[in-house]
Amino acid sequence: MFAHRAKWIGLGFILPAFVLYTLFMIYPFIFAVYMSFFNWNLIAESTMNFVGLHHYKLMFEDPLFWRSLRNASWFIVGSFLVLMPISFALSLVVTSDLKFKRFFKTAFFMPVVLPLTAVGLMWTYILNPNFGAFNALLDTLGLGGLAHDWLGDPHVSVYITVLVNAWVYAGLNMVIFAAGLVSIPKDIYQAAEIDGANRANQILKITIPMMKETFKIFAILAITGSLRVFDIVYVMTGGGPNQMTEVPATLLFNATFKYNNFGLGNSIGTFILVVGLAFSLILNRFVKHDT
Amino acid sequence: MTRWADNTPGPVAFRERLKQFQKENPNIEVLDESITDESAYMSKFKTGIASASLPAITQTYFGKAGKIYADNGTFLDLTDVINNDKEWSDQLLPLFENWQYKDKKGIYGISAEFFAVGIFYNKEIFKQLQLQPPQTLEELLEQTPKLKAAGYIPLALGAKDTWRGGHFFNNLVMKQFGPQKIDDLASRKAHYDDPDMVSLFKLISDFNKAGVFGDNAVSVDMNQEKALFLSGRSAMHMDGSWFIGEASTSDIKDKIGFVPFPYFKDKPENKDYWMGGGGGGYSIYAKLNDKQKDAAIKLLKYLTSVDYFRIQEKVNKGGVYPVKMSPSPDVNNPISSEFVNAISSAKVYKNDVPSYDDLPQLIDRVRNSIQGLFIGNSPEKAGKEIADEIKKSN
Repeated sequence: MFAHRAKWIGLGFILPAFVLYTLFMIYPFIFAVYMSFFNWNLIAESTMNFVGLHHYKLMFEDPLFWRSLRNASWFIVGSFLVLMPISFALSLVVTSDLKFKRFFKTAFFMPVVLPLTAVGLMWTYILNPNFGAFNALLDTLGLGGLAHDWLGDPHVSVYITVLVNAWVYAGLNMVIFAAGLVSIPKDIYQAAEIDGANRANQILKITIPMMKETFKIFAILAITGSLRVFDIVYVMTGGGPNQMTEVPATLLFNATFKYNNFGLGNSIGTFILVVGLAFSLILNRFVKHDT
Repeated sequence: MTRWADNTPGPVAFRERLKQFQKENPNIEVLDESITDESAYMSKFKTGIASASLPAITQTYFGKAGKIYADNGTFLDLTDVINNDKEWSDQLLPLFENWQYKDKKGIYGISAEFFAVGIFYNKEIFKQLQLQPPQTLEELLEQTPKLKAAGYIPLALGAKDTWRGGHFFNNLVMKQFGPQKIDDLASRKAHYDDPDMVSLFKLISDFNKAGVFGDNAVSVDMNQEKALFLSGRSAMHMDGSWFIGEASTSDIKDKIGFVPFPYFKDKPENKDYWMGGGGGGYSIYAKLNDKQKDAAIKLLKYLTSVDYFRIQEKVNKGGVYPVKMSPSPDVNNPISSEFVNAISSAKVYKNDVPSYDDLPQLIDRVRNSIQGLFIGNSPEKAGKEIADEIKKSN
């Protein structure tokens, strides 16, 4: 009887969160999918016309949409090749016995708390080809030949935004990896040390395998975050030059708020959601947690 | 809701005017929800339209793309308001084009700005190099090597903000073809990938390669462009009448002159066609009750009266406004005087070229393709991208 009552008390505690989640996540998602099958020009007085899969057809036939997916995939690649190793390395630093590690924790986490718009603007000025600090630094180091129009060159601008994105989120992922690191019992490392394993072997043979779940969480966040990246791109390049750095979310914004095509915007949004969900399910299925 | 929310003289005077209106009309409460940033403003505007919760008076830019609002009854037809108060409406300049549509009767906005785009130039730089500000585009190109050799950017252009390249293009269309071309493009009699249009894209590309706009123009935004001019690093700056206030309070105010946008040497007959006309205007939300409507109309007239624009003229130290008023003798501003003199011969004003088109996305497409010229895209590609966008929408 107590267990039965405890169940209802538990449900009572999660009910507010459930209601909020339904109102602000589930309902908008369902409505967005529903609206993607209608033509609506964002005017309250106008009628909505059912058009079936028309917007999805438009979306998949648009070369700009495929370019935006390519750009989003660079964010995914950058997450695994750049963000993951750096965040993992930072997490090793802040969970070690190093002096001043509290200072390092704060310093590494600082970019996460800065508003993304301010970060984007800051980096836009740092990377300015005419008066930016980065090119000036290269010049000072005798590497003036490498100075470049980092955000104006369509061949590199998307990679630069990927790197800035990695700079922003390294601190957050450091915390995620650090949580995984501290959950590994220390006696396993002690036993490994006794058996002759050096630090590198310990990381490769103990730390990484035992952090499988943490890496899975990172992968899900990285992939879903990359699919819906918006702020950094919008502020730094606006999707330019000439739409070369567009990502799905900037296309969604333009379709909805500039071109009054609410249905197309919702189609893009639905696509982002479905693909993100699919990746999450696949990762959950294939990276099972060994208890 | 307007975009006059910053602390430059014009918006400050706008807010003071609202306070004055409240004092004179204590039974009317005015809430100012203005936002400066264009993107944030448009998001709020679109959200308001979608949720049927727009403010009573909204600043609108419209063009042809605004016809959907007229068709859906979002904004009030102000024809009767204009006809029933001649004392007020007779002093308005006929700048209703942005809010009128060929196959829909009515006037859906009143212009709050009158603008004309030309070239502000640094007199000291030109004097130092013994040059005259260019009258033709050919002269501008000829002067470029001399200006560059002296360490100046001839005409800095913030191509990162796509509308800067778009405005330069608008001026080229007017000076090369005149206003009829804009109507031909909108009616599909002319096409953006026609050889004559591609020649304009080629001119922009050639100017960029020659260094007219400065190095890495595609990484310079409008704020940086203005800073380059006001710090004396750029010899010229293309801008509209709204720059007069800022120029007149800058460190180089005594060195700034104004000339019309250069024309083509072989087309002197087009030199009096200008990019300009009515800028942003006021539209009244149609879903108001009668009391709110009357209050909104009263405020609209208060914000578009000669009295109000005299105040704007005073705080901006000159400028041009969408009402019939001669420059005040009390405003002793050489920049404004040169501006008013320069536009006195203007025959026709036209706004953004693609704004006369039915496709709402065309203005962005044209501007993005022009931006593409700054990253090495060919003029033919620019024309084709725009033509393909039009074909896709047919």
